[in-house]
Amino acid sequence: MKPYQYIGHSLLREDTLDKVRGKTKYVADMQRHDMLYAKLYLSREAHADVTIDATAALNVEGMVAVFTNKDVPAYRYNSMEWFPGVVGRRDEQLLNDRARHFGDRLALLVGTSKQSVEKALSLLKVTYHSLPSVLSLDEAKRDEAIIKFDSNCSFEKTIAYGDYEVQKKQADLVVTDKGSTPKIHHSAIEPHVALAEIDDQGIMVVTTPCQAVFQVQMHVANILSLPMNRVRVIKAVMGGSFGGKSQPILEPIAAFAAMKLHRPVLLYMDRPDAIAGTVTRNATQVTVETALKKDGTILGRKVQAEFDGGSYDTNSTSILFAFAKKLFRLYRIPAQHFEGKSYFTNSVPGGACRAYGGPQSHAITEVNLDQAAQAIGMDPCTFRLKNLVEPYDEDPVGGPNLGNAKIKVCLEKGMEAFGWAARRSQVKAMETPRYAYGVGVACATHGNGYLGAYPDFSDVDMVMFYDGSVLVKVAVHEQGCGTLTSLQQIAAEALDMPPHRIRITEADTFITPYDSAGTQASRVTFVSGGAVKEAGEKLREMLMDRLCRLRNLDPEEISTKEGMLVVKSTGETISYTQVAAEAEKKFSEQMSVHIHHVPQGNPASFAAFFSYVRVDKYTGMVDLLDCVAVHDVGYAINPLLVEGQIQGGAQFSMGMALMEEITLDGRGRIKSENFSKYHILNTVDMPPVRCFTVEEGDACAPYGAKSVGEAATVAPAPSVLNAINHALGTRITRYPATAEIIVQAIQEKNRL
Amino acid sequence: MSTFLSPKTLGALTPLLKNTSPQTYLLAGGTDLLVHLKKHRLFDYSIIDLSNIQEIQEIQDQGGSITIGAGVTMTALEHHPLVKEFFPDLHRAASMVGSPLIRNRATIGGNVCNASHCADTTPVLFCRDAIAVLLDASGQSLRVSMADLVIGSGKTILAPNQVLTHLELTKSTEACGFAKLGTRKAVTISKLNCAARATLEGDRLTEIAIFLGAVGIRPAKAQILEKALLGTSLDHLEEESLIQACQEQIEALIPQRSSKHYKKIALMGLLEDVLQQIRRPR
Repeated sequence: MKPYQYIGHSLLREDTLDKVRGKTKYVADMQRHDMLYAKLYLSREAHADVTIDATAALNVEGMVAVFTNKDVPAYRYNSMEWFPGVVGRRDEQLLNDRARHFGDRLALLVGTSKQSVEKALSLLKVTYHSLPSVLSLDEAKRDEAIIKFDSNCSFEKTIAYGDYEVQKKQADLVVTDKGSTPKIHHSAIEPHVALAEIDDQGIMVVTTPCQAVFQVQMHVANILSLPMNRVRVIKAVMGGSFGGKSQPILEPIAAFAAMKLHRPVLLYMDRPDAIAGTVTRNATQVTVETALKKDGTILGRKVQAEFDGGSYDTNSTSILFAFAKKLFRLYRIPAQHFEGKSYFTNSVPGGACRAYGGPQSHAITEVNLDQAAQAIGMDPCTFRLKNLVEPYDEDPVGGPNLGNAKIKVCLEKGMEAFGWAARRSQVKAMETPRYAYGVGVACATHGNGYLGAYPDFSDVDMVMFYDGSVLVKVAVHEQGCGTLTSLQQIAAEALDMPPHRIRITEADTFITPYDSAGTQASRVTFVSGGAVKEAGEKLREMLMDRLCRLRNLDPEEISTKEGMLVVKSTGETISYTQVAAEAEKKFSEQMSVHIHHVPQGNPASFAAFFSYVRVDKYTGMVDLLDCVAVHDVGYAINPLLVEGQIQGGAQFSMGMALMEEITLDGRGRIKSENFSKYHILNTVDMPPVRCFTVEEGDACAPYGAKSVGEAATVAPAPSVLNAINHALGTRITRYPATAEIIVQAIQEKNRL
Repeated sequence: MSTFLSPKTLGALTPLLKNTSPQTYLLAGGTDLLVHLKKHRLFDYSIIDLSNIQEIQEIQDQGGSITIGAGVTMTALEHHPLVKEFFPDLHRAASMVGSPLIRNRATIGGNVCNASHCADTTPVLFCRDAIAVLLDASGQSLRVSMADLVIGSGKTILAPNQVLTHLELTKSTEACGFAKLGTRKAVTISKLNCAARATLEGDRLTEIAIFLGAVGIRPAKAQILEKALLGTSLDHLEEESLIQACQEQIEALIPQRSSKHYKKIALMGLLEDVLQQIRRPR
């Protein structure tokens, strides 16, 4: 096989220079003739009926409208639905007359300037009639105050295979851990924003940094009773999402205001709005019970998980499945029993957040594995190697085959790069009265799309213009990962032409062909990349075929090279451009293809992560000294972008390990309303993360390439907790392990 | 009516102080003021901008003392040779305020007058018995101690027509230290901070003063710690008794706060950091 020419290289992203120079235009920078600014009034109470007096707010110069629940359509929806084939409990409305969480949407203020809107917000008179609130999972379970329907429990499901109780009886010991994970804010630097306007053909056009234009289109159409062919949704440049912008929040509201007022409306948020008024990663409480033999064989596992779904149904069903799925695809365990329950609470609703359920699923199980290893006196890496999955294992609950699963190679490669054996045996000896040192490991798995659970396909229109440049119409959403660059490289490889002559579109419901699920679920490189590859190969074949017909040649007489067709016998080269122009003249056709691509599998991606920490036993502060990440990515289309995902994923995950958490006060008000209180790891906190990849391909993946962006944000957190526990001899299972939690754990251990 | 006035001299400032209203704000760096205006959604206010007054942006050697203009930024404070030479604790505290961007704007006068209970430079100024020089609308200046100026969390004795112009610190070659603890290493608000200065004979502490921040409404003198350390030898510290003293100190200062349990332990870490700086030869 000839070596790849355009993939496997760290091509620089086209948007890089504009971004670093601050030239990029985001939605918040956009202006339209006669445009209005809008902002939401978000509840300052956790649970209350409200009455709103907008007189003073409307009196502010420049104010155009204040909308409340009375003005908006009665239509209820579930923003998590992305096509009519999934139906959730529909309990959302554009604006509410009952606040169900601190940050719930109560009014929309629209004016000619941001200044007017901000001033009007300060004058809006909202009277709260408080209701008993449910502020935690424990309160929700008691069902004393019930938020809606007949119970706070919104969904429950048991998924099992084998017979756990039988396995448990044969076990030498059972190791149990109970822990929790927090609500996490996505911390995209760009807060949520949307621009809605009606174009000169009467089409509702919504420009938004979103992850699924067709999902936004469906909700806008449903809520405003518009036919879908009158709703155009355009993906705008995005300043980060991490799942936070995956379900429509602002788009239908902006569209409603634009329709009411017949003027363009730019609906914007600030940081406190984005923290309180959108969605969060679901908090969980998890109990894990692992039954094992003294020789390190895992016989069975029981996992009970409770999900804090917040005040609206949104993803309380799907988060449970997403959590459970990961349990079955990392270790070979003869029997597992999973019980999940989702609850309503008076807090910010749950939503997709990078690796959907994976971080919570691995958070406690991976710590529990270390505890199990310790209980039998076995090294945690050796213990994992004994139980990890093998290539082409089946999913024990009937999910897609695991594919070329190389997690064992990841772990072994990481042990060597990290110097695991030596460090693990030596770091404890470095302890001083103040500092303790430890190392920890964790493994993780993630998917590649929706196949096996929901429809998964991506359509592509690929066009070669007669100047030889190529436009690839595909409904993808660049989120900052470099998706467009990766696809450009894939198209270049498939077409055998230089990437700079290829342009990949972003999603636009009026331009790009349909895509089943949007840019989420780690499906784009794998599914849309597969579609682009298929399209490129077909278009290349088409060019070769037309040349053969034009010159009376046999297909085997020609080949391609860097955008040229080559006649093998003579060495004559003919550019794609020339063939495209001649073909149009001779055959009355444009060089273009349409592809409907359905992936042939949903293999698993894997990661192993190693952490070396120093813990200050007085202050509880943790220094991350060294980290190693090893990812089974199949094949790295763009190694630099892959490393970017691994570094960023580590930053995200280690924030969950040490400091990130949306905290409520006794009345359910968010205490960490801004970045001054909601801390993420910054540069000085970030350790070097040494990144390695295992690239042994996967038969059903385009050029063997599997996902990495979500898989990268799962293992670092439990590996850090395992390292802290190794350093201190503690058993911390609470995320984040803040300084206070660590100091408390040390004291509790000293008291024993 | 909203106005924005930007005098260039103290002489031009004083008449402006006569006509202030409760909606008049003095702007130095703006790193606290802008957050305040946004958080409380204030729209109708007037600003007197102090950032163009050169006289309050200088650090001057007065022989036995140094005067620091209230408008000196944290960045300037951090890098000034006189500060580095005579007040390494202040240098260190200034270098640990917020981010580089914040330090480029935030001023020492603002840090003092905002009077946050978790301010970083204030405990150092308390510990060094700094004198605050105030100016009123009539052009009169008044010298007060830090303890007389900062009276509570967010509270000072400054009248609406008064402004802090300078801080005076007596030069000293005493050993000193500063340490802070937030929820991360940098760009973090102090959960606890600690300023100390000491006189050493050999490795024996013959004099020591310690102030703690974020354990009450304003920096607090840590008498229990001082007592525990006075006369002890830095090379032979009794860790157990210091840990005990830290606990008693926090209990004495914030008996009602739930954060006391953590701070009781964490203080020992800060104290160790500060004593390490004190031990280091100047």
